[in-house]
Amino acid sequence: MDQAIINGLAEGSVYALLAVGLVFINRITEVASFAHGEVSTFGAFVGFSVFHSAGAPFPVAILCSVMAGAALGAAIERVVIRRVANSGLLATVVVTLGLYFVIHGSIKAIWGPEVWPYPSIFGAGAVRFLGVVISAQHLGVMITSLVIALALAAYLRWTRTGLALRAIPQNRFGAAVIGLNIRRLNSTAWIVGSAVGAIAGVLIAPLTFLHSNMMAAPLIKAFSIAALGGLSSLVGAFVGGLLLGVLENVAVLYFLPGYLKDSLAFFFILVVLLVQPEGLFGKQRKEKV
Amino acid sequence: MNQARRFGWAMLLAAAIVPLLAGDYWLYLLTLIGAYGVVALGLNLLTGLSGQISLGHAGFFAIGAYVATVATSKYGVPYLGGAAMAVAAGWFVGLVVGFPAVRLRGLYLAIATLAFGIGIERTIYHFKGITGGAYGLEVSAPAIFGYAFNSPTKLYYLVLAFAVVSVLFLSNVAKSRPGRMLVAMRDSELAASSMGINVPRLKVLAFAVSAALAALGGVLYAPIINFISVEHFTLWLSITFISMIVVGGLGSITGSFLGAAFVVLVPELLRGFGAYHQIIYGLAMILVFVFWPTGLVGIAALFASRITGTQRAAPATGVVPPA
Repeated sequence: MDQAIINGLAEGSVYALLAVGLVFINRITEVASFAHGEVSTFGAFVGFSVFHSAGAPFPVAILCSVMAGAALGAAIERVVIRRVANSGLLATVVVTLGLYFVIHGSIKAIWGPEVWPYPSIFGAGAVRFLGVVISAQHLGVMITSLVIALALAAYLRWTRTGLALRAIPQNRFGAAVIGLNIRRLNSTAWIVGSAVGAIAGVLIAPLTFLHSNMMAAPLIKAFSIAALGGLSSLVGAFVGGLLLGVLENVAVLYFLPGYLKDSLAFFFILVVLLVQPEGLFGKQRKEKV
Repeated sequence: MNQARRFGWAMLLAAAIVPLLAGDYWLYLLTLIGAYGVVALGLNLLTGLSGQISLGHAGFFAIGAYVATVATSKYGVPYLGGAAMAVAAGWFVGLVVGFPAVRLRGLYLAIATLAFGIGIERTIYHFKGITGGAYGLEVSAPAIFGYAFNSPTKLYYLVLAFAVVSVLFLSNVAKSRPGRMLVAMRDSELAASSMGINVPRLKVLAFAVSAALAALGGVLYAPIINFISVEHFTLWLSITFISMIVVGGLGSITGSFLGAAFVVLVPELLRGFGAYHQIIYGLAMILVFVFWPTGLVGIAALFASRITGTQRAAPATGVVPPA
């Protein structure tokens, strides 16, 4: 039970981070990216290559991962999303699904379909804490994602750009009127969100191994979690991620067959959406003709 | 109208004489295009005309394939009976999914249908005893009144017949009252409901019809590939269906089949290049929305007007997506 909760918290904090990146981008740009998971896979693979082929030290490799994720995010925004941002929901869904195919295919073309063991940042040790043994890996994942989430919150709370980023979802039109550079802020959102995604990739790779498909299930879970918070609540995304991780592992421990573990999130989200169509914390939208 | 009809007859004639020219392998691909095209028609009704995004159509497709296969091979139901049961099952599940879908909008609907599609996949996996799970099921050749469709050519004509019926059905729906109501609803739900359109009822209906067509596609698909297993009905397939209707041309009947052809033929042409066909699918989906919202059918119409020197609309229902 203890072990299940700890595993759950570790896996959950990766879902949480993925969902936070997703929500961060969606809040500001109103685009929910189905390519988000592939961006983070790409980041993880770049770091892996830097580490293995170039023989760079591991921290440098991780820095490269984050930069690669951020750069890919910036490129996606600049080359593709900017052109379809005002074309409606169907356009952004289809285009990000297209990006999913493109990035996924490219990753497979570059790195092949093999599964690689991914080195852990945190070593192989274990820590004894309140009578529970926690592997350094799990502890490291939890602490890192918490730190990242707090850093993101601080960034939004205390910097000028953060203030601007908070203004946009409150009143899009007003934000443009007072002279905020919406285009640049959209770009910033994609860069920051994608960098957070890349970190999630680096964190999950040691748990799941590195392969081109590793983000498929986590991304769908991240979407479910994000939808809980109406696709706009960062805190909801983080807490939801942790909860889902724990729930999954505890359920598998007691009654759920292992291959249905991934389905829990979908079942959950179906129920929530049925009861509350805009998510638990989402706000109702008024429509005008 | 007359031109569209002439175009339809020409296509039908061409499709009817193809087996005289094509080898078995090409015939197999064309049959596959026919089956996928039927799914694309259904998805076009839902997404192209009524603007609801479904990322779970592989689920309805799987229901069709499995209900027909299990009914005919395990319970000895005749083929047409099994097909009817499968389509009815698709329709019914479409209704069941459609009711809650009425309350969901846009992205939430996409996420919920995505969850539905994966749920069906897991259900197939879970009930191994009936569905064979990952080991799959063998599919025998369909037989109608003792006549077995056991060669590629016979199967081709069977699929062609179903595809023609589906096209006639959908073109009648699209051109008549319900089709116009769907378009009105897509463009503005609120405006549509103030005009007296029962939006929730229409949405559920669109879902059910679309699901029934997807199930029919599944019925046709199973004997083409001889063997169905859970791996055929993943989320990938649902996304591939979306890419079909987008690349082919949203809301267009011809586009449904062009998109199906694109999805079937690209991997064939790029055989041996592994992941590249995914990149091409993806690029096509992006390029269509960035540069050419009418899709392949729009491009085809442009070429046609160049050749004949006349301005003419796309040979379709001619519904431009809200891009």
